[in-house]
Amino acid sequence: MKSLRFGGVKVSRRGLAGVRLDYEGTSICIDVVQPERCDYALYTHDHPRHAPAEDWSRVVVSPFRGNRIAPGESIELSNGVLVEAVHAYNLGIQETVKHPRGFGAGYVLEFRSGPRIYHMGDTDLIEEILSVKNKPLDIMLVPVGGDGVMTPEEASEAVKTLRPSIAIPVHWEDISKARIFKRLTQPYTQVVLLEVDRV
Amino acid sequence: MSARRIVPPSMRYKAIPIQEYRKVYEESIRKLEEFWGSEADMLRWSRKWSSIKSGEGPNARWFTGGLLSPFENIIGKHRGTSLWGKPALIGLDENGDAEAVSYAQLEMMVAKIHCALENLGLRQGDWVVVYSPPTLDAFAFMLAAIRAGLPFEPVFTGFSPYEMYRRVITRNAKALFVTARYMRRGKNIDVLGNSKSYLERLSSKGVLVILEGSGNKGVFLEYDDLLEYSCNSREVVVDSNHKLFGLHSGYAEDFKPITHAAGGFLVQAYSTSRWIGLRSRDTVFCTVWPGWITGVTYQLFGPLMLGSTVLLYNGGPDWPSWSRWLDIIDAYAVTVFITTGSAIRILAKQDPSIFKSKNDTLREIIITAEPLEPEFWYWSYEILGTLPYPIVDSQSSRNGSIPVLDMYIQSEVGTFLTGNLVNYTFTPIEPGSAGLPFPGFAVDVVDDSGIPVRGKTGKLVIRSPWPSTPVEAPQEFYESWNKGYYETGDLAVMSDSGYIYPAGRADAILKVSGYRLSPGAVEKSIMSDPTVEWALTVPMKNPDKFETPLVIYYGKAEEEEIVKAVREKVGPIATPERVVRLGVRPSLAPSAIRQEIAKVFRSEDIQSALRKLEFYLK
Repeated sequence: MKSLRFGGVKVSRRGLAGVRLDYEGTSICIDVVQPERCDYALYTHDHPRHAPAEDWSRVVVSPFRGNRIAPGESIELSNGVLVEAVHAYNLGIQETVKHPRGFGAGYVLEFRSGPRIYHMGDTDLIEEILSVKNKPLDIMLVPVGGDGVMTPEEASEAVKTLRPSIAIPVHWEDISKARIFKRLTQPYTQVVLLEVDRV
Repeated sequence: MSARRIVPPSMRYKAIPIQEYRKVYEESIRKLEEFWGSEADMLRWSRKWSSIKSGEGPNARWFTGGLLSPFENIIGKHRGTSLWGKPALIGLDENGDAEAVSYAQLEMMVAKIHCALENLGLRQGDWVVVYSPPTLDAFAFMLAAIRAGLPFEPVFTGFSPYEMYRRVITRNAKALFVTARYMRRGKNIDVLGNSKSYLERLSSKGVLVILEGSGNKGVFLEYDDLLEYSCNSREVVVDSNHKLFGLHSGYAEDFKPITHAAGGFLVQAYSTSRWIGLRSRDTVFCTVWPGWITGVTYQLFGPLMLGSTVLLYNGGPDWPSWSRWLDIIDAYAVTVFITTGSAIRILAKQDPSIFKSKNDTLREIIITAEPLEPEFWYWSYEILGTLPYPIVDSQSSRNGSIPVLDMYIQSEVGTFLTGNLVNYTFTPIEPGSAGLPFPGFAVDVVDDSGIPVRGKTGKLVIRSPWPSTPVEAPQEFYESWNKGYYETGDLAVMSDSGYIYPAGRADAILKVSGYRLSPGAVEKSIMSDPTVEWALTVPMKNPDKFETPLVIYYGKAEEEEIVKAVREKVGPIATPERVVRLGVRPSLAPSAIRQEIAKVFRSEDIQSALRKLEFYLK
């Protein structure tokens, strides 16, 4: 299925972990590598499958380019959406993991129309994500593919921990990963599988 | 009847022997009022009833003296719970674009519409009609009607604008909600364009016509404008016998209105929804649209009362391919799938590989409204009901994992009343059967004298009133109680152990794709052509749809004109499969021979039945 609208925000997928959020005539893209049509481009970390080498959009927010943001910091976009950065990293010996602590971020977006949406970035199930639980979470975009991000089983644990109303798996190429996540997670939240829209 | 009994692996530790079921069932029938009284205690009442049941037979009234808020019992009770922020409804269109609303958001929408309807002059007890596919806005409108104490009737969009018009007039409705257009099978269905003349006529009679999605302001009201209202309206508290909603049910002479009351219906809807296994953690996808009783009870009422998420889809099942419904089940992690036997028969013709691995969250499949032949039960169980992972042991199930349950329902009853109950008295499934009678429903199969028959075809009857006994019904409903029990009009076989095997209608009413169609209404549509002097409609056996209309007529009109008249006056759902033009005008009135000829066409092949037709018409 192509898109899901909730509380005035339309969510659609773009690429591996990318999503586009349409809100009151503006578009916020997270990890979209071709952000030409995005008003705001947020990147979780500097990797060719998450961020372009060059950026064409008006506003860029990331830990490494444009309006730089670090976990724990927040920024308000000109459309009134509040963006808060959250840690995203892999567990283990930090020199050997794909995404060491401080390398990237996840984002919690709070929209004036109500929804609170969390894109986790490339992360494992780390304790810092518990900070997101301070308010109800509506939509959680969860990486489920394993190999640098959570496995479907770990991703399901993350959802059970944060209890969003809706969970959308991202960062998967083999649909069986998304389905394992769906099956394990379904009783605890509404899982929605979105197709990747290339446009 | 089926020789095999099956317990799906997922039910292995929940199934009970038939003897245990029998104890529960017989106790419920012996102490019927006590049974339903304890069920009613699970609802929220503002004032408890003074008597559980008063009156007998078709005049029985339930929970008299009780006061309750229907909206509180459907939506409001979830306020302040963990369910309040979860999706209540997900509306999906054919393009694959969906919108979800939480219980909290839904209540806000509903309250605004309630305010608007009050501001527009509607008062408690005024009827409203909804002519729409299942959409978020149509459901919010129906819930607003419930919140405001306005009885509502949903009209299936497979019925023509003329049939919708007739129902608005019959109900003396004060407002009509219409979805102006929607996509189906890749085409734009222009409901507004097709209905405009009838909408204008209704508007001139003082009916508030509210259009959703029309995109332009004209003489009608815009649904979006309703959402601008705000006020302090509170959900109404009504008497148990307050008219909650109604449908037009197919009778021999015409479609006729029946109405369900708030208290009894909500008790039945809540109890049966729990029994069939709905839970707050479920996502329910019911392919039967509102306008038919399954779509009303198990899309609008039951799942929301239980705090489930309801998936509403307004597209076709075969667009862009026949995998569409399974794609939806896959994408939205659907756990309970409710559909018709006709749909299963068509799905069974498709390449099974298109359904593969898409059913992994399903817990049960419910088939409604018509008999399901054993071969199609097995197909459902082995293809749709076999999950791609083991259930209770390390071996993958190859021949079924989850229950596939055929259930019997009727508009006059309001809910399912036979079937295997996943969350109550689950006994082994007999493929081809519609299970055992639910506790609280005194179901029997009898001969013409009222004597119970087992192992052979008889009349399916209900010996005692049920909580949602209609508070308004046509004369035919009251006459069907003449022998002291309610004759459903359906035939069935009851096995010695009590399993019900529905066998179609006993009368001339047609069962098309699970939907009850009035032959008289089809005939009236044909007779609206002044060149037609005589018309009769009888059922033809159909391998996919169970039955389809066969029209026999005398007159100058061409056969294509007959089909056109039926489609325009009744709707596409009643399109005749075959039209037979007579050379001589029969002397007998159609109503005098309809039932006998229907019997012939149901029992014999078409050629043989057509040969006999001449004999009956002489």
